[in-house]
Amino acid sequence: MDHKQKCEELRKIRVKMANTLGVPNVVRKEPCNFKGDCKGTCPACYMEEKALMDRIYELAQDGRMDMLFGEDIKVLETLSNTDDFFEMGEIEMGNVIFPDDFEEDAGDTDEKEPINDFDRTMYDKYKPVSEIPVPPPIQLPGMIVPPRFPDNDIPELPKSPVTKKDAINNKKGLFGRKKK
Amino acid sequence: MIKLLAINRHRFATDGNGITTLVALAGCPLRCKYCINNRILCNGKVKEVTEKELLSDILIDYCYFVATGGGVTFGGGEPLLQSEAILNFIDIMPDNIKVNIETSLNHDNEFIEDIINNVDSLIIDIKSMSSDVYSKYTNVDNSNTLKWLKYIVDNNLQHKCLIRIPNIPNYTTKNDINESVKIITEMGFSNIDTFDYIVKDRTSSI
Repeated sequence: MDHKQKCEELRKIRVKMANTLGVPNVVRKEPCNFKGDCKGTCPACYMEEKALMDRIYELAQDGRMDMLFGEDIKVLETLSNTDDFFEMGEIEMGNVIFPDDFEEDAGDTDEKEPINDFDRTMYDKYKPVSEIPVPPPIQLPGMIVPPRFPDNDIPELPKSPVTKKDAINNKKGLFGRKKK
Repeated sequence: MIKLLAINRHRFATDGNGITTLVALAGCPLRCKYCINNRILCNGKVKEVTEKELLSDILIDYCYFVATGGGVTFGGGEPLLQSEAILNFIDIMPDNIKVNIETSLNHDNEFIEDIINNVDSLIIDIKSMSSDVYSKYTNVDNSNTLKWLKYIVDNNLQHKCLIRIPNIPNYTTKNDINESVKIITEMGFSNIDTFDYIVKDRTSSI
């Protein structure tokens, strides 16, 4: 999968997620028209990701996260089959990770001007997190660094629906896993 | 605290189901002849972060994780060296994010049982079931690996394991690999991946 394909696959997921979350307009409907090379993600993609996360946090605060675990979300499980699981070719030497992988991805988080009016709108609406006083992100050579939420402001995300078995065992809380 | 080497986002069905974020942890007990990632062994380039900081960094991809059944994969290096930190991370993360680890299982500490029981999948590079081949290639013996494989079998957890058996140039033969596959299969593992290590010029012996 090249970077353009990765970009498009991620965008398709965002579109479906945006529809599921009831905010279809926060994601571009058409494939990216940027002609140059990219790494599969860029500031414009990030703004859409952030818009979706803002929506998720909004729903979480309202206790309406059940839509993320309903039937609709299942259509998004396009990659979670066992055949895909065994396509492991990118790691060529066991548990070793190529430093070059990270170097190739460097620059994904570089600030760039939005590429069209839609992106400009998104850019204005969702200002880069770098403008918000937050703790400095992890910075290593070649590392992709998604902006960090303020340390004490990580919104709580919901647990999946409590099953009968879980309820009986009382193993599920509101946030985080209980060790088995 | 988590000793971190790097984060790699948007990996498509490469290390676990769905879209995953690879979190490369520092440190490794093995000294594999063809290991190319000296940074793993170089403490000077390791960054320490809290579990909460790591969570805040990866949550931007929450949508992709939920949508594809993906999540976080801890690799390295050997993530079991930081078992307690991984458990702390699991405790604070949303449980609809999957947690996978890529490991040699060649380590021992009091938290590894919990790791095995609480992660969603284990991608285990066993190198070879031949202790002789293993020690020649890694410079350490595989007693811990065998111990934890037995634990997995005793607890019927083979279903969440992918066993990787590499063809290691100059170290393994086809017969070695077939014998390893045979032993692993007899232990009840069905998800087995045999593959070739690719030795590049830029690799360095340790």
